Amino acid sequence: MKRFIKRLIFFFAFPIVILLVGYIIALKKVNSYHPEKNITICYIGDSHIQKAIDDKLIPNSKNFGKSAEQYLHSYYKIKLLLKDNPQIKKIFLGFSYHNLSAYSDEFTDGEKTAFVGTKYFFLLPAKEQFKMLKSAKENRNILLKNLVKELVNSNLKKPKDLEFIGFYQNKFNNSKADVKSINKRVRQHFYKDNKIIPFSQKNIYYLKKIIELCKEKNLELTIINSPLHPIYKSKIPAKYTNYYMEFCKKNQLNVLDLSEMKLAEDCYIFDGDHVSAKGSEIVTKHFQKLISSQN
Amino acid sequence: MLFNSLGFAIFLPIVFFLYWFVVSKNLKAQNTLLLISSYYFYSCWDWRFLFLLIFSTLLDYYTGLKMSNSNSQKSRRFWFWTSICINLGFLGVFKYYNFFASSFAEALSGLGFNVHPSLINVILPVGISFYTFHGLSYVVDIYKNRIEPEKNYITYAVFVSYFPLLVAGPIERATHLLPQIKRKRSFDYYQATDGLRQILWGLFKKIVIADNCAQYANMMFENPDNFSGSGLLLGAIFFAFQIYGDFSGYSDIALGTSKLFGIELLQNFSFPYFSRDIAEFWRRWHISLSSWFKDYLYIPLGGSKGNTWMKVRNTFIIFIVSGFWHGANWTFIIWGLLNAIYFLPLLFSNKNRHHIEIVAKGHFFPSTKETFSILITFGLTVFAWIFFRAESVSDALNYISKIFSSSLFEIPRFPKMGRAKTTILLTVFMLIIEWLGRENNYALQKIVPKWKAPIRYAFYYAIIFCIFWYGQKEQQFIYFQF
Repeated sequence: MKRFIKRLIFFFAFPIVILLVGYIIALKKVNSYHPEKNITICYIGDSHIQKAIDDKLIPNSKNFGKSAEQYLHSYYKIKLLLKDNPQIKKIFLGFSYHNLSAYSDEFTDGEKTAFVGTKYFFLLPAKEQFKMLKSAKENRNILLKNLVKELVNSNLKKPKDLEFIGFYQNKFNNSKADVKSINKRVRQHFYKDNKIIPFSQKNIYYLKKIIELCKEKNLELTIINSPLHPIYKSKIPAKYTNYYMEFCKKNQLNVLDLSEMKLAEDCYIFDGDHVSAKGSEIVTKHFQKLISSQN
Repeated sequence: MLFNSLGFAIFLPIVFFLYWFVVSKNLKAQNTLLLISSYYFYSCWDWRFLFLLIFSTLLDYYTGLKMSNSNSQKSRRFWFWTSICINLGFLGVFKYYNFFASSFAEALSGLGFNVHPSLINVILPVGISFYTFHGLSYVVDIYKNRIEPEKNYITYAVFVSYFPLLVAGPIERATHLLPQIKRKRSFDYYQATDGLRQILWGLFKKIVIADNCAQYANMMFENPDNFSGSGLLLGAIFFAFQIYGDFSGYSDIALGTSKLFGIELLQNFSFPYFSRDIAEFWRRWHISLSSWFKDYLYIPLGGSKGNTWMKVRNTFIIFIVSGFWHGANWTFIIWGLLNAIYFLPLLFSNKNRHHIEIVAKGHFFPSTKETFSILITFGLTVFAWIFFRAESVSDALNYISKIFSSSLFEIPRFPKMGRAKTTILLTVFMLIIEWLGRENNYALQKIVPKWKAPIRYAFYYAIIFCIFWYGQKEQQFIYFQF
């Protein structure tokens, strides 16, 4: 029996040691990330800000937006960016109505964590890492597989190329809004079984933590509500728009509300809540004017 | 709790630890632990059906004792038929009632009578076909004076409910398993490592081969109109490997798990896709069920003795019942019928026991004739699997008609082609390993231990990597539904 147990331990110890070493290297690699020294403005958030602001058009700024990023991820990303980087003065955070919806929790505690959350695994504290391992019950195999992929990537890639960092990306060159897709999107964001989805307590909690962090570090935090197609906007439940306004007011947030910006149909992609490449160019120029007038 | 789930990966080491470290010195305690673990394992599906399992166990246990203590043949016969009727009654109600009721109503509506039978809305208790057959064989063996009844309830209950075989077999015999349960077991290093190796190979077949093949088989069988004849043919082949990987993988995990507890179960698969004719295929596929039907149905009916009519009748009965055992659907009955039709020419020409040994024994490659025979047998099996997999007979016929269309000679195209190519390569890899190990009980049994340690460990790690990398969502084993 002793021989059996000894061999079994030895057999499993080998890959476990390799994984542990890889894990430590990945943590170190993530923590060694520094943005370029000339970067003073950061754009943080999900695909809405990622697709809307082309940072190449605005000097000394970098878009760190990443598709499906939640405020849990953004909070730890901002923490990492601020570490030893006092040159960063302004944060523009994407905040739209859908960010309030508990639909987002699928990306941090639900099945979609397997596909999205794993990119941020090494950025998160141990407690959140453990929570992630317990999520995605049905997609656990995929979650574990993606974590190993992330481990390998984090060990092989340079810190600036790590998956979670994010960058401006908009490949929608010939697109336009489509009413059917817009309706589908609204349903996905705000309704489940014909009932309005409750607010995401987790997103609200981490949004508040981001606000506190920015205050603590003396950073200028501005909220960007990216452009929305009029049909999409008109269908957002009042519960959401009211809470959004109250939240911004209560927390005395600077808000750049572009949600009602007038754009042509081909400035949106099919779902009506993201701008196309053409829309992005217009939005970035408009945004540039706004911030320069503020300065 | 599935064998390929995280829950089982935690459950198994705990039971193993308690079995060998806490209760190893006491056989009674070991058996009690096995029984409690088995009941817990079963209740993870639906604890309510645990009562059915316990009732069925108690029934056969007492029937055995009563038959043994009876002085008169009449009393023995009474207890025997009571047990048979109740066991088959449960199976009939849970598994076949809806099928018979709706088929009867359809037949009557054909005659102009509209009948609306009330159907029962209850899920099939997992493993009912398997543990009922355990109980039946036990009762029949006592009735026929082949065995003595087991006096200890725990020993008998472990025989029926032993968790490695509880939900999908192999269907054990009292003569094989009960003596092992009653005997003191001591830990055997070689048996345990052999068990782990068999579990590993079973997981590979289930998670890598079956679950990946399932994606394409499901895609084709659910939407046959979207694919060419060649694509559908490939879909049927994918299903053939899905069901093989699924069920033989399950059996390997069951046998391997049992070896960890010092108990050997009956071999259930013996490389059936290398068979040279259908008779050989049925000696190598789901062996425990085939031999059960042979011993408790075919031979009592007269077997292959008697006149031609008797032979034909018995062949059809055994194959149709075997098909029907799999599920209450005409598709399974036609699947059984087809296999009977394949089998009859061999029986008439006295060639049904021509291929007893494994193909090309002692040789590396098969002869041209053997290769040809293997391919023909595989082709016939794949054709029959179409009925087994289809939702209805008309779906199966539609699928077959679409295969034999002009598009049969087109290059198959379907979504996720890259992944499908990987699945095909992995299936070929499995077939090569199975071919190399075909003279053993399972593929890795003797070939891998011969390799030098670094190669052997590299192979094990590669298999674990494949299981991890190519694994899909946890998917239930097909045979759990039977």
